[in-house]
Amino acid sequence: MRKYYIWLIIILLLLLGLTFFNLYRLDNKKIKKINYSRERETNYLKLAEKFNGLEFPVIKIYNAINDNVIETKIKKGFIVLLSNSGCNPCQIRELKNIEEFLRVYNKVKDTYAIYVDNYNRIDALRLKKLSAISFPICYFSNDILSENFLTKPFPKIFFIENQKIISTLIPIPDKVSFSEDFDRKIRN
Amino acid sequence: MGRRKTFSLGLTFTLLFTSIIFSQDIKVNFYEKASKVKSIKITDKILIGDINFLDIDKNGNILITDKIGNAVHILDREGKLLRTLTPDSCNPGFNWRPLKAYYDRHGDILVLNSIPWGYLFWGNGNCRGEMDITFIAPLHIYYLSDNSIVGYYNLDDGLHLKMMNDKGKEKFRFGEFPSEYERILYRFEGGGLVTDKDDNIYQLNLSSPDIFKYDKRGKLIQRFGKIPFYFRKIERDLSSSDHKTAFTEIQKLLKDKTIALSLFEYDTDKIMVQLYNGNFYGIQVYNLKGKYLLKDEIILDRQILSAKYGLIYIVHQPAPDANGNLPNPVIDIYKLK
Repeated sequence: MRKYYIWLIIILLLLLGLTFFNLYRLDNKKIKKINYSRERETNYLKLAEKFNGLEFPVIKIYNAINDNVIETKIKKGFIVLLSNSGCNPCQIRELKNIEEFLRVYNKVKDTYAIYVDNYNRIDALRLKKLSAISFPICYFSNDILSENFLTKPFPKIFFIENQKIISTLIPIPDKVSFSEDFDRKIRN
Repeated sequence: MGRRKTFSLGLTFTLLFTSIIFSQDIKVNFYEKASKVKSIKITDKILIGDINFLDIDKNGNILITDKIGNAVHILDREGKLLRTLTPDSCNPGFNWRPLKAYYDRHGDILVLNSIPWGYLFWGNGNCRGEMDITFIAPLHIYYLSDNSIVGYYNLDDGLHLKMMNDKGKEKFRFGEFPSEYERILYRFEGGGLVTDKDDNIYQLNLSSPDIFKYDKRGKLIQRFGKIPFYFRKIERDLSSSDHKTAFTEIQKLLKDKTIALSLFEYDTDKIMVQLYNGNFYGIQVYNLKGKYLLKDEIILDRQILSAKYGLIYIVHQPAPDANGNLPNPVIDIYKLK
């Protein structure tokens, strides 16, 4: 009888040990996942912060629909830098977000999407079609913008007041909530 | 005197050779060699960015993958929308980034996706479930009669063909690849993979129109291919397979060269190779024993997206209207005469 109890206690202790071990492993996995996600967000935020406070120059851009010249004189609005090297579904998602923002806050008028490299008219019109934006989608022919505007990743979204970049979003491709945070920040 | 004679003879041969080469004019002749079956105008109920990949089932339904629009649609043979695929009702929150959607041998659907690497649907478009956890999307896939998947892989663990079950779990690896182009094959999309009714497997690498034929156990049983007159061989491999080198070297290496772009199961007894030469596309048709079936080279100005059940599918984008509104792409279907 005594032997039986001893074995029972041993088995119970083993099971308890195993449970603690599994809980510890699970926690570690979770922590690693959370850490990775935070690290990634921090990197994107750091990258975006570099643009805040910079001046967005007045440049000549051309409307993809009719090649009309537009000057990027911005009182209050967004500039979205696009590229064919960027993730297209992400670019469409962000254009849709901005369109929705403009619909609600109609004071933010000076908004342009600009292709910075690999411009192709049909590709630009495809983005316009799928995102259903009402603001112009444009391209520019001279490299007037400095290198940091022209390097990956894309899209880059700047909220601008009187040519000064107030806030920047470089979206994380698979993280919608990250872009929503930016949207919330601008609204407030 | 002797030297002058050798020189003039050499010159004559060079001129003769050059004139023969240039006399073979490269003219688009596809539209004379093929007849148009019909054009499918896709319904305006859906907005399509671009059709990147297209597959057809035995009823003529068309499965289109639109990478820009992040969507996969099933259309009937007239272009009417039957279903837009989504994994949401089975797997809410699934990271939906479709790359290529294929019909399997039972008429059900596998969508290759950018992480997670694949998702299964029933033929009617209802979601079915995820692939095996070990499955990674290959460059090309094709199905055997028992619905086993064979995949063409050009990933970090080396070039190989992989036989898998219908959920993508590995059975075995096989395949031969030209070692002199290992890095280009690793870095550049091209080539293809098809199977036939007897479960033989045909592999095409982008570096040449040579086709490697294997049995279903992965044993190489034949190698065939015809070099067309316009073929310009890629001279060398990339100097390194790292991303930066590939990015800087690839354009130079492939400029004016011919690459084998795709392989199609054109019909139950024919396979089709599509080559790309920088300015034009060329097609070749073989029977399953490797016999070349065309009398002349066929050249076309647009890329064939698919060829199956004896029909050739080409997509074209109509021009935008004055307001910049872009219509949906149109699918043109041809048949070789």
